[in-house]
Amino acid sequence: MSLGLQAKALTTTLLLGLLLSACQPPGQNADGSATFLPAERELIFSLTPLGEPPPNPSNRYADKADAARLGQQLFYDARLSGKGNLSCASCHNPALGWSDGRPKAVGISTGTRNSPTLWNVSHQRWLFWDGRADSLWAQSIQPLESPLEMGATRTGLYQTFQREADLKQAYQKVFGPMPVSRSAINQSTDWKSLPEADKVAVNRFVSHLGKAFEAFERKLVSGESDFDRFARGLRDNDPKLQKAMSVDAQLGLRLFIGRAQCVLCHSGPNFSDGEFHNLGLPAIPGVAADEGRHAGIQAVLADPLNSLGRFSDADPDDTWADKLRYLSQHNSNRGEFRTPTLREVEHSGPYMHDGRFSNLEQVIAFYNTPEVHTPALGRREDTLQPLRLSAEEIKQLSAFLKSLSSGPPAVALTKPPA
Amino acid sequence: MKSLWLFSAALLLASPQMPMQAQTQTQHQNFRIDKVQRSQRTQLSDKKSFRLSYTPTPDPIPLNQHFRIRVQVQSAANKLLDGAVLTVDATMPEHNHGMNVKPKVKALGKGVYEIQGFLFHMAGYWEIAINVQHGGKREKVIFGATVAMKPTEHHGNHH
Repeated sequence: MSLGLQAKALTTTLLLGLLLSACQPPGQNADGSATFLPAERELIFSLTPLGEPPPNPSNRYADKADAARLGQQLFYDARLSGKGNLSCASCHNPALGWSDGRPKAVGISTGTRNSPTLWNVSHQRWLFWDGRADSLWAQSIQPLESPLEMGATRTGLYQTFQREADLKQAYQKVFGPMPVSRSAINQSTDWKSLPEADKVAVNRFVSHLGKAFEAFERKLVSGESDFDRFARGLRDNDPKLQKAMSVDAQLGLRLFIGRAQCVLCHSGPNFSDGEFHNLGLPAIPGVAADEGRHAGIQAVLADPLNSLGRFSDADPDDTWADKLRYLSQHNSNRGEFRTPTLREVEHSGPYMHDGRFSNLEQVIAFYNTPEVHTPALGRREDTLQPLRLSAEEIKQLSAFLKSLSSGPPAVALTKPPA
Repeated sequence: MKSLWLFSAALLLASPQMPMQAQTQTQHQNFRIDKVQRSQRTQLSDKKSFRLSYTPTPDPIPLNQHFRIRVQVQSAANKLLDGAVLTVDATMPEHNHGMNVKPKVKALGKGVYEIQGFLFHMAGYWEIAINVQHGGKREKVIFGATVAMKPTEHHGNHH
């Protein structure tokens, strides 16, 4: 080929290249799927795979099979409620994303907050929307005793286990003899009025129940989602796996880790930083403002079942309890709520701490224009800024969030153990 | 000529894949901080009486895990200073929020202080502000540090 011909061919190639690149949006392949820069890939790989639940040294039964079996039995047992008609599964229904599909929890009465999903709950640092418990075992006692939820008392639970032979036997198989508390057996009385030694015995008993619940709830972990498969394909350069996510979902992922900044709080493989933020949600007429984390901090520090208390199985100097050891309350905690996981989010609506949004598009629309709302309490965190997402981009983000589903839970977990 | 062909082929391959700019940068920074200067791990205090150096553990500072720092406190003339009172806080100036924890300071001697209990729950640029009180002076040092999201360590370990 002569030099002249080569130059012509080169010019044609360059022009063709420029033409092709002009026809495709930046960052997209010819088929519309997304391409990701190295920095974006790093962010994506920080979100997957979910991995095992982190250890909980405050519960020595956390990973014991017999404790998990007991926890599962109790989870579905209505005898643990005050009137014998509600179980944990009433508000944490496995068919409804381990939630209840309602804006606000309904037990004995209607509560003030949404029932949080139990999917991947063992990956959370704090429990409840306000983080008023620092372990799953300490958390699980509170709904049992809430007058709005199951309406039991810890003294009453102790009496139930003494009375019901099958419950007592199941308990003793895991934890040994029930702690002795004569006054709780013989008197129908409030725990607060018991002698100190009996208070401790009853607390020891309910902490064991909580530890069994936790052992079961540690099994409620997501499988591999379309997003995880896509990311694995990206890591292994496997185009077939990368097709696990639609083009819309891939473009939504780019927004999630980029311009929409969702990943700032929904970080890590559980898509939650485990901490608390004031989103500036506006007041709902007739509904009292919710203090959120500000009150939660006081509550967890005062909880005798917290990880620094006598019922924790962790060594006194275990760093696991550092979250409590260094916890401090600030005015900025007013109106803050915990960042929820986004895994399985498609199936765990309604959304936000008070269930005010019925679908994901409404949630994204709120984040799109946070500045138009006056916070019900406190100050909106500056992390939230106007996003200026188009309707198409809201659809893409929603498609990405729906790619975080992994299918229904294992059937064996959705009912009492055989 | 061959290199020109290679260049043009590379351009052809690369151009559709190059976004105008990475979208991972914080978009709403409305003020300027000299992050390079503040990221130096040895800093003079604002009135230049003290020189502080710090090392975090783990290093680099991890996202959303507790970490501690060891701080060496010296006079501007490099004399190690014991008996200083240190008060500490950390914030994300671009987001106008701080930590949800309150670190505790412990003097280790020979001008070294350990500050335990930090937790940076969000990726991005953080500033650790240390107030030093010693010899009748109270001065401030600010260390900047950028915390990154790292790929998970467990590949293919899904349930």
